[in-house]
Amino acid sequence: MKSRWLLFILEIFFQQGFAQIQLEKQLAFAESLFAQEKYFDAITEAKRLSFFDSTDQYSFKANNLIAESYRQGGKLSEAVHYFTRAEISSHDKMELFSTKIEIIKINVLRRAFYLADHQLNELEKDQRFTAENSSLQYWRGWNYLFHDDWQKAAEVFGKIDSVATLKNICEEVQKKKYSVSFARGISIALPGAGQFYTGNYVSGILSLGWNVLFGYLTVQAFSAERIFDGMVVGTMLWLRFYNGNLSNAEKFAIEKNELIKNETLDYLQKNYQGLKP
Amino acid sequence: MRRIFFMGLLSLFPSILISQDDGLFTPEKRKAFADYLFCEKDFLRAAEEYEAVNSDNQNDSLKYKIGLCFLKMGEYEKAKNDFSRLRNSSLGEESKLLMLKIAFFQNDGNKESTEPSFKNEAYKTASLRLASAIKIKERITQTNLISLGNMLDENDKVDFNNIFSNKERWQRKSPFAAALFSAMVPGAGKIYTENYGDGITSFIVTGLFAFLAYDNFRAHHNTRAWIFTGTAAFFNAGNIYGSYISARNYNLEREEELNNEFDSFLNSKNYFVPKEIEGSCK
Repeated sequence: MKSRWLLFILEIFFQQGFAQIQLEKQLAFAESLFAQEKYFDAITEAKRLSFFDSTDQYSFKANNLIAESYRQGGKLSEAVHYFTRAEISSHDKMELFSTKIEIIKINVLRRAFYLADHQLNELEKDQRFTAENSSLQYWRGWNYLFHDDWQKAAEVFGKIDSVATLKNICEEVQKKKYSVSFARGISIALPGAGQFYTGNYVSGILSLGWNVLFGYLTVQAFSAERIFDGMVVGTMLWLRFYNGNLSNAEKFAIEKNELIKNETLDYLQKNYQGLKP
Repeated sequence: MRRIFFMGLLSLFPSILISQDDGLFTPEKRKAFADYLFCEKDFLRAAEEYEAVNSDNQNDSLKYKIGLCFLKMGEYEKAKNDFSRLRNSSLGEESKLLMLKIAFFQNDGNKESTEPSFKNEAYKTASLRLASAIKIKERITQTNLISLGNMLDENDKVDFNNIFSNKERWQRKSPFAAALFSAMVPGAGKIYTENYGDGITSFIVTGLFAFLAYDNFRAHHNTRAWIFTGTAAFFNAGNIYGSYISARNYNLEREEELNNEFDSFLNSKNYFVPKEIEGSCK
């Protein structure tokens, strides 16, 4: 009787052991696919692991791997979904913190500024993560950077000693950027000047030309005492081109700033060696 | 002691067997995993898993599931290909009905795809309704509308009639007529396309510049007169072209509005296809 019990216990023990080995092998397989940048297959195998892992022992790792693969494939919403699943199955506070940070990084990437900011605030308030303050500041800086607020990004990075490069880049961008209100302001004073300021000389000359022509016709009509003519030319032609000149100057400044921002982000993506969203 | 050793070896035997099988890749496990993926709406991976099982162990229900995955992904040609191979199988009627659904999505109103025969009464009704819906999608006519309306249940009929009851919603405006009207009276084409604000503005602006041109010619202010003539001509040309576009936009907007409403009505009825034939998930 005793030996039968022993047999039974041994059987259970070995079966559990082999099942464990199978899942372990599956995790290694999924991870190797991820390492080979075969993200689609890595997701399939990690999902398989998750499906057959009845005790949820590998749930954190599998979900993390799925989320990371989705992120690499540019499927950010799916990545957040699986990082959230990983967060739920995290085993300790470091795992919890790392998944929360991954979610924040994705929100930074997809320009969900206010959501990322809110999540960073929540983490900052959480007593469990007080030791991680510099990490939170670092991602806060990136959040400002992606939000096109280079001034604040430079301020935040300035508080962290190890990221002086990022601070300098942000300050440089802030200096390079065109002032939208200045472009509009000088175009109010002299039509076409805002276009010149942003380097769009042809557009500036055309704008100035139209405004001079219709301004001249308006003045001429009034001086010939053809008031109605003057009002129609003034409001329907001159004012129209004058307004167009203002919004044109603004548009060029915004476009140039967008170009500077994208060039910098591109540079950071290709050349910056530190952690990135 | 020897007995215990023997028993230990014996207990290892099943485990050794487990270690020698395909682990998580046995056909049964792959099928279970594929079902899970299907229910998670990860249809591409589900199709791959079903295909892997099917290549080892061909069967109709797997082929049907593969077709369903492609249908759900909107890969209609692939789905059609899978379902057409099942025409004469035990899942033939279901496959034919789903092919009809695909014909609706692909706007394919040819006779062969819209008139398959069914033994199952529920499928027969569904196929007739779906074939009628295809005809309406192709061309909205009174006959087509009545034909589908007569086949619907009372409640559905009310919803259906609400969409198409107003004839103006599906009757079209001619872009050429709109352009012609505007050429005769500035802005008239836009008013014809129910774009009243633009029509009145066009009339006033073009009229104003034309008047100023006339007045300046009369007063021998030739430079200004020519500027006003050019501006009036420019506005009028824009107005004629704008009227043509306005009629086209009017038609497109009505069409899209109507299509969206009709599509959401059909979607709420699952295009008359019984839901259980499209894979059930708990």
